Amino acid sequence: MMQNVIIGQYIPADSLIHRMDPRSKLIAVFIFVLIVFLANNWLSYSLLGIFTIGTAAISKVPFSYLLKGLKPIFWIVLFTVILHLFMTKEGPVLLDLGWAKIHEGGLVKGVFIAFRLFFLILLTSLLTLTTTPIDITDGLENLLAPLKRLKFPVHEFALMMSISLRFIPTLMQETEKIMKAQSARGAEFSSGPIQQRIKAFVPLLIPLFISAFKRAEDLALAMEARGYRGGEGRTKLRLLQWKMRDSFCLFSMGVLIVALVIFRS
Amino acid sequence: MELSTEQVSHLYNKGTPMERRALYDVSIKIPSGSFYAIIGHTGSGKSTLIQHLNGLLKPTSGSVYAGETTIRSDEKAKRLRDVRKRVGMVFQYPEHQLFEETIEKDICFGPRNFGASEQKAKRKAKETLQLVGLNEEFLQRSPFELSGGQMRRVAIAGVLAMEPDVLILDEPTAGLDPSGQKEMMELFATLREQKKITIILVTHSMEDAARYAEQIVVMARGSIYMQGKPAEIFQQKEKLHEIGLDVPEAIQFIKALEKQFNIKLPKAFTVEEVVEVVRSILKVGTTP
Ligand SMILES: Nc1ncnc2c1ncn2[C@@H]1O[C@H](COP(=O)(O)OP(=O)(O)OP(=O)(O)O)[C@@H](O)[C@H]1O
Ligand SMILES: [Mg+2]
Repeated sequence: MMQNVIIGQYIPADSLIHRMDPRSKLIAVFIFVLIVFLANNWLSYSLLGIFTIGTAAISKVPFSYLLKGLKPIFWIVLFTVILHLFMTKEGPVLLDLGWAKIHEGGLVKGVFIAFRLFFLILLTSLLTLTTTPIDITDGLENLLAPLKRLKFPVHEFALMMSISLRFIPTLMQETEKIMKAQSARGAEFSSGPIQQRIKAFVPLLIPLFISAFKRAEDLALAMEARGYRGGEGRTKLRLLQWKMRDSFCLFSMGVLIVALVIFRS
Repeated sequence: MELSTEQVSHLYNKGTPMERRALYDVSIKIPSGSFYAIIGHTGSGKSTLIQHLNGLLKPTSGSVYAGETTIRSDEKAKRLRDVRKRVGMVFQYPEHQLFEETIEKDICFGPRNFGASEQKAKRKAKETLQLVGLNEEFLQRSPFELSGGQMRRVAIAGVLAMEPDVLILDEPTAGLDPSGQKEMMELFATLREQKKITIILVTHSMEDAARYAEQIVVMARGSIYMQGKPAEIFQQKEKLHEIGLDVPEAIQFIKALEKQFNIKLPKAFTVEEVVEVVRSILKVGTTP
């Protein structure tokens, strides 16, 4: 179960996507999240599909791995598709079940929504799969820097994010470990009636919370011991470098936007 | 209950870029009532191997036999319950698994899951708490206000209360003070003698392995590297050095004595035995 969650994992590899500046990746993903909503016909959706699959191919992250990461959201997608299938009343009736009619428009919309969700999840997971948490934080801090003038705590926000990202895999490992320890004492997590299963999570959650709090405390102490005082006057060991490929990435996002605007109906 | 594995291999994160092979064709047989120690460098697959013995991990290929039950990669989880009850497992840092309000409730968790009545579970809680060296007053206290070593004892009591036939211990004494370590090890040895429990001990302490185990299994890079009686294993100093392990200090001491004075001495694995050997030399007056 835990092995299917791929958000927050980083897969080291040497690919164009891995080498890109985190800022360009962040901007690109942000733009992508917005323009996904521009697509509204087969042509524009195919365009998005080609773009997403192309990016995944360049990133050298195995497709089988990405597909596995999509598994947990499969039910959510299915649910939205079914909802659209029955709720949309456009176009000719394809199927009359008596108590409900399925219209062509509903089918098309359902399929589109499914693709939209898959593209979104795929591209956002590609961001974390190809960028180390530190890079994401640096990039974000850099991009949000103008907000400092509005007294928005950019540095703290970025730090919080990187710590959360950093600890997702640790938390999963911990979860697995405690699940095993409690299973050895006869706890059942994956079978039995639903009330029992909910109750079975208490022996998992309490140790998990305790260790998470303890870890947070330790981390805070370690940071303080090393003289951490927030972002004021802090310099960076690794500077972000904007290269040709990053400009090219943004350029191709621009092309994608124009193409979508032209092809959408 | 006899435990054995046949050509067990295990892959972690199978089918992902992080795929990692932790065991290669491991075959081992642990007879009922024996005391086995598993030693090996960190990352050699010790924890992975023992988690197969009660079905917490399933082999990627090969089979595990626990009593009458066979565990293979396609086995359903239902039949594993009986194995889990009979093969108790104490993990590294078991204190992380405590969760109940009171120590009594926490110890009862295992027995209750395996169908013991409340009365019986409570009785077992009292008994096992005493076994691990804590008195009855602790029963109603919260496990979270204990010291690390006391928490460890409570966690171990929680496994003992299930009355397992086999007790698997993954570095049970790591992080305890020296006297606490010794007490724990003595407790396991006593349990084996009195209740005929099979003990499988994973340890980094060559001294403990030499002193308590009947059989030692040495693991390296996911395979069994050597297996035999402590005397046989610790004779092969060079072979152990190759995988970064050392022989107990007592044996090193005797070896050094033998070399220095060019004499042959009886075997000694523990400090007490060394003292005996040295005393006997002095008494007999064969000092060169
Ligand atoms: N949950 C896991 N996911 C992925 N790989 C793992 C996992 N647990 C262990 N491994 C890997 O399997 C190998 C064997 O690990 P194992 O925990 O069995 O070693 P060990 O002999 O118990 O070491 P130690 O003495 O440090 O406890 C190691 O290389 C480790 O990195
Ligand atoms: Mg281990």
